[in-house]
Amino acid sequence: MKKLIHSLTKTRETLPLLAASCIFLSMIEYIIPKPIIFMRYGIANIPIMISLKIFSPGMTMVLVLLKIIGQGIITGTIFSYIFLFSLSGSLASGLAMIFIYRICKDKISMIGVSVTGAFASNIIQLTVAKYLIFGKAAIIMGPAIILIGTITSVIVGVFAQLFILKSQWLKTKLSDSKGQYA
Amino acid sequence: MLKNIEPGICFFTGIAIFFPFLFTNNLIIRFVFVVIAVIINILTGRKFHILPNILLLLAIMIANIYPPDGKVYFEIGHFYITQGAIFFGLKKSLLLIGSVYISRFSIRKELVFPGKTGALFYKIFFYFEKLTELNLKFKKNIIEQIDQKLIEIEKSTSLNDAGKTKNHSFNIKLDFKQILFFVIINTIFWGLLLININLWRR
Repeated sequence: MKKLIHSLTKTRETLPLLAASCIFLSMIEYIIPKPIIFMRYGIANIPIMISLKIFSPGMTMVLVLLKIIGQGIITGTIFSYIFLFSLSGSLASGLAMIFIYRICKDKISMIGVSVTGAFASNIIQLTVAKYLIFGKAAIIMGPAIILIGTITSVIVGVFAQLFILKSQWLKTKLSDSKGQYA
Repeated sequence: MLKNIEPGICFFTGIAIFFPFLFTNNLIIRFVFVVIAVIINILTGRKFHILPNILLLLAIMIANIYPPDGKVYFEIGHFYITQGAIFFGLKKSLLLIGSVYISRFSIRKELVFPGKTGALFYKIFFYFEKLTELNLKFKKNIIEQIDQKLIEIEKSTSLNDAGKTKNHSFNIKLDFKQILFFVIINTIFWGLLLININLWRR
């Protein structure tokens, strides 16, 4: 029981810290110029990929929701159509990453997880773009968005993989959870 | 000029004006809403850059050129640029830009939400502020720098008090200026919605 309380307390500290990291990385992403409107590089997904190693799937989804809301608050887009893009893309990528990670576990690297998440996110966002804003023109942008999204997700995946291998902070988290969910 | 308007007042004003904005179908009235939304953003201290908005407006308009509808203005290759398509694209882009500015006006990071959720978000923004102090040097190992910052944040003593130090309620200090601001903005938005309904009936 004591162990459970300890782990819950640790999660309570780690969850907001990872959520803050997501928002921080979203801000960095916001500054980087993009060739196509609504395109995301996905660097804000790095903390979510890291959370797959330390959190349960449910907690990872909570982190995804906190990322979406936090991002909406910081950028002020929570009541706008932009928020719908963020919500649909992040939920889709979060679910896809959890799903692929649960199925493949150690057989998949963070690069694979990242590419899966980006693909799911781009498909859903293109669908939302088609019905809300751009109409059929969204399909024309589709191949370019998916191609760029795949390339950037590989880079993001490499970074997440390196972080997982080298981070001392993560090592303490993993020893706290003792690989309970990983 | 309006920089000391309470974040809570901005939040409730934003929610109240969002509905008239959403239900307006007249292009001119929607444009007026967008202009007002931009003005109140600037007056309350938010930044405004015109170029990204023009690019967004053009991108949405171009994306909505097809299918052609109504009077043909001119032709580019096989594409007919029509009045209906331009109006449709303009309406959509104004809806998107306006919703972004109303949202930006309503939501500020100083806004404290009540209850446990409020405490959690306070904690997230507390950590966020700490992370923004991170001065990344690209000549050094980036992963190591981020790692060190995360360890440092968790070790910091004030961290344990994060989320406990603030009173988590809306706690709006109402004065004449705040109420007047709320009433004026709402009168303009709801008044314009009524004009829009009358125009639509005709």
